[in-house]
Amino acid sequence: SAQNSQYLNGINVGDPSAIGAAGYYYDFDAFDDIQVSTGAHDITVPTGGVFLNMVTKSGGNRWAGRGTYAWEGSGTQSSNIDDNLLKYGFLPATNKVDYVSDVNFSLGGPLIANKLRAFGSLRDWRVHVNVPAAFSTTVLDQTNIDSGLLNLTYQLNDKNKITGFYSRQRYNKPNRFLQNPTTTLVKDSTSDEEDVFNVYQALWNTIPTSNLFVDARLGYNTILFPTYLNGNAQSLTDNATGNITGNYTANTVRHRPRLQVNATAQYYIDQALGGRHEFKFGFDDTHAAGNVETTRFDDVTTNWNSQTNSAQTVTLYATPFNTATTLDVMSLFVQDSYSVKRFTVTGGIRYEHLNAFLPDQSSPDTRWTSLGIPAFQNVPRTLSRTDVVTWNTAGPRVSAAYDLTGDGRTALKGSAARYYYIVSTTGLPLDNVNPNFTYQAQYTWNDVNRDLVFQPGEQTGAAILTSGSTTTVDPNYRRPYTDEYTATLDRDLGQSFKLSAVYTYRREKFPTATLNPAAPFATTLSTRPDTGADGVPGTADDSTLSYYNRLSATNLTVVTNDPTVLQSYNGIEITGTKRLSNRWQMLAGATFARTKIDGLSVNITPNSLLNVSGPVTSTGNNPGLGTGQTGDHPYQFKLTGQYTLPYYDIALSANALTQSGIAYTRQVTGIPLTAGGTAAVNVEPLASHRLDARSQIDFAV
Amino acid sequence: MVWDVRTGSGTLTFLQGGDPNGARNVLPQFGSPASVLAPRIVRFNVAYRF
Repeated sequence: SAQNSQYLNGINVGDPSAIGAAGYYYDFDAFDDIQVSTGAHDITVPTGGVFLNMVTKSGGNRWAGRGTYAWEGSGTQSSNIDDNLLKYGFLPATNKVDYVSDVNFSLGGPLIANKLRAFGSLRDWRVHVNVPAAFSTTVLDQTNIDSGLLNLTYQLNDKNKITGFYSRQRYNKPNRFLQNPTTTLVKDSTSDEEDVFNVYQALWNTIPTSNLFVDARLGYNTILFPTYLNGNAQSLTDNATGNITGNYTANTVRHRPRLQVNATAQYYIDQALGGRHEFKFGFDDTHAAGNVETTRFDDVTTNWNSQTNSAQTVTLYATPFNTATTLDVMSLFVQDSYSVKRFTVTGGIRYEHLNAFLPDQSSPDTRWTSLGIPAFQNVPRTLSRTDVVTWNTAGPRVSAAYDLTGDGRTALKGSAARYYYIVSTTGLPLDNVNPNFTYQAQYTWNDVNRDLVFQPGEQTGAAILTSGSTTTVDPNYRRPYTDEYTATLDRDLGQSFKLSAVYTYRREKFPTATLNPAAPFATTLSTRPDTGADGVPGTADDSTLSYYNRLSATNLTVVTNDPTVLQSYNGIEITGTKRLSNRWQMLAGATFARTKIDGLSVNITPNSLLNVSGPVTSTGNNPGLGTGQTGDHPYQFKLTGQYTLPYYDIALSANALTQSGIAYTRQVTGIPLTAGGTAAVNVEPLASHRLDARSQIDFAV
Repeated sequence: MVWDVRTGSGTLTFLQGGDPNGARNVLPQFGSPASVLAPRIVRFNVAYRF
């Protein structure tokens, strides 16, 4: 999902840091059209994930509008917390909706007849849910969003149209759970989120000649995304349970502006080389920044183990940080679609110049320097511009379609494409090589007074230092990519029915990985007792687990690629579609697919390379994959439909879904290491277990 | 309600209804639920076009 593309009116509005997600919340009632592409993308689409383009309403030749109100309360939801769950400590209000409301008003029409049209929308939506937290508590998780937008369209003449768009949103969530599952946090360790999103757009559509169409777009998005601390104590993590108490680990204020300019020209030639040509060419330029202000309560996080009732480690941070990153991407693309008789072939290439760098920046001094902590006597506080990665790539795309039966109702299609990954303005590699973001030292924690509060002087042993100064980028670090191949058979059955079968093969190559060239881990495995799935020693499922012990505290990091890993997707999807006619529409689909990973060979710790080949499971079991992996689902069935009654246009709709459960692997965490810190290892082959299939059905009137 | 909990071995102590002052139940640990009946939700929507 990190490689999804989110567009609004043809302009990329993706969050430059949380890549794959939109940089604001969509007001769905404001959309006139939604374009979705899941593969075989047009040359204007930058990445290989799902492509979404939302087109805003523009108002028509008469004033029209719409008001909607949706509401759900605590009294309209049944409870599934039965006596058995109450015995296990579930609170009666676990996951209970307090209320959900959604109010929208939109209006559009002509300001000047046949010249200037306007469309505006206001929305207020709230979701308040009692979320289960640690120690059988619940926290009322409130999400409150207000938004407004205005779209103005000016028809200059028959061949030129100019559009201006502005949207502003406020998002307030006073108790955001920044860790999953939510039962590992208490109210004090949730975060107060108060976002503001702005989207500014200018579009120009022009038809210079009868064969040439040009679209030019300018967009500027701003994201203010702060998560403030709610607690009044040091952040304390229990290694035995993962529970965090006291406070969340950091107070973070994020600024994510994005400037986007693109232009696309389409030129048609009716006859050349025996067929019709449709040329498409243009450019797309991105300038995205990431500015982050980070502070921590007492500039520490602490770890203990409730099973042994002992403090384990303490990490000191060189906060406060004022961090800056920048990503520039210039794309040039050209494509020709050639049609002759029943055959159409489309070929194109997308060239991209990507430059990710750290601009000039500085942060205030850290308290650990003045306290004389040796590891903090030379903390870089000022950084001059530093280039991190510069890539030049060219991704080819080709597709073909053939009218199999000659009547325009049966199409055989195929495609092949290479999509290069976009990188985030935060995380790997930019933050990791930035000593003005990453500077922390982990020690063994000798909590002499056993109050589980760190006082300076309780840190012992050699510091395991993690720093942007100790992190470098492999000069051979290359841009990861996705190769995609598809084969499709579509058949129009008549009466608005269509049947499709699609085979898709995708492979991810050269994903980003990190390694420690100082090789601080042992090269042979150590063993320790494994209490088994029941977590109780002395029972029948006890065995031993193997892990690599850490012998040295030397902590160097190199950002590179994993050259041998292959994550692949093999799937076939069969869908039946009934377009809206005679008051009803329907979509039925069955997908059979396998998502697998093999050949992981590079990781900062060899413990993350134990039992990691097989079906893709959750992020925790596949450390090499990063976030956003939903895992292997061998089968999915979906059925959705709607019928509109001839009485007052009352619509009846239903959705049904059955999906195989995700796979998971038993993992043991908190294994103490000689040089300090702890390890987590998969203690059985990847995806040894699978949750039960999930089925759900929804009805709406 | 339909809940069927698979049990491993070993026991833990749980507070009835999560109440710190409630009864303490000594029960087998559970690995994962065998089946879940989700809550039934009714949501009201009104739309007016002009």
